Amino acid sequence: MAFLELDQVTKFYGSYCANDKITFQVERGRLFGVLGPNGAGKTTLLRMITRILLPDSGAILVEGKPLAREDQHRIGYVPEERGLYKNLTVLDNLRYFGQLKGLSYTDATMRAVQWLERMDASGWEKKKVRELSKGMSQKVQFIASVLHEPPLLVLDEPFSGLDPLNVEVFLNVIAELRVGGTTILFSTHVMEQVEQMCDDIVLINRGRIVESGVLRHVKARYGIRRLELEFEGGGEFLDRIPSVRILERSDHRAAIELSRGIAEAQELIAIALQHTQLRRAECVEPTLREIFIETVRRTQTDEVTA
Amino acid sequence: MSTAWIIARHEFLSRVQTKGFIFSTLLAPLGILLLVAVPIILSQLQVSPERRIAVCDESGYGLAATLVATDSSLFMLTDDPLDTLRAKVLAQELTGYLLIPADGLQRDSVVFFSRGGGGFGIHEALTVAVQDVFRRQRLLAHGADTALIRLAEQRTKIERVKVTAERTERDQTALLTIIGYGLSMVVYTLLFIYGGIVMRSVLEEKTNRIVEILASSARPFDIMLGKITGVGAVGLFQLVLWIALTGATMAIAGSILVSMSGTATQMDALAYYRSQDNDFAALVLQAPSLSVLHVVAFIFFFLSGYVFYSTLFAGIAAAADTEQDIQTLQAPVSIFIVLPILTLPMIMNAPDSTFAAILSLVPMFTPILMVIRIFATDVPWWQIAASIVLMIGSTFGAVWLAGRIYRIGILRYGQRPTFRQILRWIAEG
Repeated sequence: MAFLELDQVTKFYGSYCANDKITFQVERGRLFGVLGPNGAGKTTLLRMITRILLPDSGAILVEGKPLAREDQHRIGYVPEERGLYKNLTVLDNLRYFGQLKGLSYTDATMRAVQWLERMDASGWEKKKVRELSKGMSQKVQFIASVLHEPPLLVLDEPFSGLDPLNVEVFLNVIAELRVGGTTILFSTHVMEQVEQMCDDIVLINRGRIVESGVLRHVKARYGIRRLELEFEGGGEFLDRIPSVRILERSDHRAAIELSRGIAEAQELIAIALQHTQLRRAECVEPTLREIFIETVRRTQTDEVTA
Repeated sequence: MSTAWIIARHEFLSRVQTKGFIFSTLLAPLGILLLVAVPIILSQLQVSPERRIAVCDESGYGLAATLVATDSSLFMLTDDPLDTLRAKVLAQELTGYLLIPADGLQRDSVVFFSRGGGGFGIHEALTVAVQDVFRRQRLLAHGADTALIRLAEQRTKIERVKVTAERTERDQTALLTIIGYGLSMVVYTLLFIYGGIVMRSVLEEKTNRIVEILASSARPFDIMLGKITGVGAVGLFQLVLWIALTGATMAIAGSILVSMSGTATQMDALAYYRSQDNDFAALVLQAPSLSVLHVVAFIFFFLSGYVFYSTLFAGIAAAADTEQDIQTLQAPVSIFIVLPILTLPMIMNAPDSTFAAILSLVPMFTPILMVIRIFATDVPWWQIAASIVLMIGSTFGAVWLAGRIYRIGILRYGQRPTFRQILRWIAEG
């Protein structure tokens, strides 16, 4: 049985349909990515999973039972825009949010201190939130969502605005939580992160699922589409090949779109060998970014910002 | 432990520990003390500057001597020629000089020479003294004897006694009305202060997106109710501290007044200040006989008014997106807090009038107007009962209404909704 199951979940704002019959399942202990351009309905979806909003129709099940008010204590949530009390200390913020999730005062305090240490943030307890940098407050926000050790963690755009060092810290902690059995659902429009981390994805556009499944399977479904070449000397020979579609190009590199599969790749490699010293040639699956853009274009939108 | 309780406790503790709360709690009673004590002390100290007025009498009726007898510290007899007096005034040796002309009594007029200025005080003192002396002289001239004059000058005292079923007691209506007025103003101020705190705090949580964290842990209705309860508890706590501190400062002021009056007991001091027509001092010394009803009613009307208005303010803040939106949206609510203040003078004059009774039963006005009426007069029990029922009913109505706006409003960003949209939120609920 799936840990989390969405069945025909639909949400309207007035006459605008933000989520249209969303159906998918999340297995326990998986890292699940919800992708989509801005305004696709990701945040609305996450708000329904955290029971901040209720669906107009359809069902959300946790371990086979309908999502109830009490389940909120088993969910940790980091909203897209960070929310902390600026005039309170880090510890006061964490303690309050921990207590709201059902922890006692002492438990919340103890765990807050432990987590700050774990996130390279020991000694911040007495700092006011207004003194923190963006990356620092994001750490505090994250800690607030995991203090009560929820089996389900929901992160809305968790890495936006983080520097690479901090992203690394977050990725490590998320990996540790996953090993510990936490199911993690997160939304993003930064595709590179998804490729690094995710087990499964759904791709949403205009409130509808346009692609879903295990990340590896999704990529395989799009097949070999791309040839990447690295060579010594100039790439002028490429210009003499008729009807070739070059995707990316620099001095010693080129990525070429394959419309006829492996056979076309063989021909191109043969030509390259005649004109240059070929250092590398590789047929690659499309990046998630390409799948994303293609799918979103196919479902007719012009709001792509990824 | 329910989430509403956790939220209420957090709101209470995080506000009570701020410097702002501690300062305002300590400073307000001090302010009241200064407001009450300073005029009394000043009036007792007689800090009026050294003033000397020379009286030059050309009438020959001995009016100057009588005048000097009324206040020898102010007036002095003089035989100096007018030129000398004039020089002395210019040299600031004299405040001025009063010339009673030979036909002054017949024409009923005197002339006062000074450098000008000196405030109202001197003119008033002069007028009273000269008029008394002239009136007496006229009466004497018409054959009245001193006994008759004393009769004519006697002032009549009106003692006010209140009749109740149990006993007769000194009527404290004036004092109680003043206290009621003060407490109405306190309710008015606190409704705005604490309603404003709720409003700004809801907006802060909305704009900082804290409310999403809260809503992922608690029902929106519990968040709103927890906040209003917590902030209300701060208000009540501050009110109780103010009453206690004001009581303490009044007691201190009272003992200072007793020692300043040169008498031994509070009652003697009270009699002394009454005889001096020092109302302020009398007010401090005279402990008003407040009944339990007064206190309970005041607290009830304050609290119900606070819940009524602060929930509406919470709803407004939830619908707003910026501080400016709040200014626009709150006007239709705030006006109902301000309106009763405008009727206060009228109600103080006639707290029993039908007009006053009807106004005080309108729930929006009840918290302010019932407080003053209960202190200023004996409000019929059925009116109190009706106002309590109406107040509780409309408070529930306000909570219901605001709860619906709050639930939808806190997650809507970007634009200030129109009143039509807010009505739709309420309908959809």
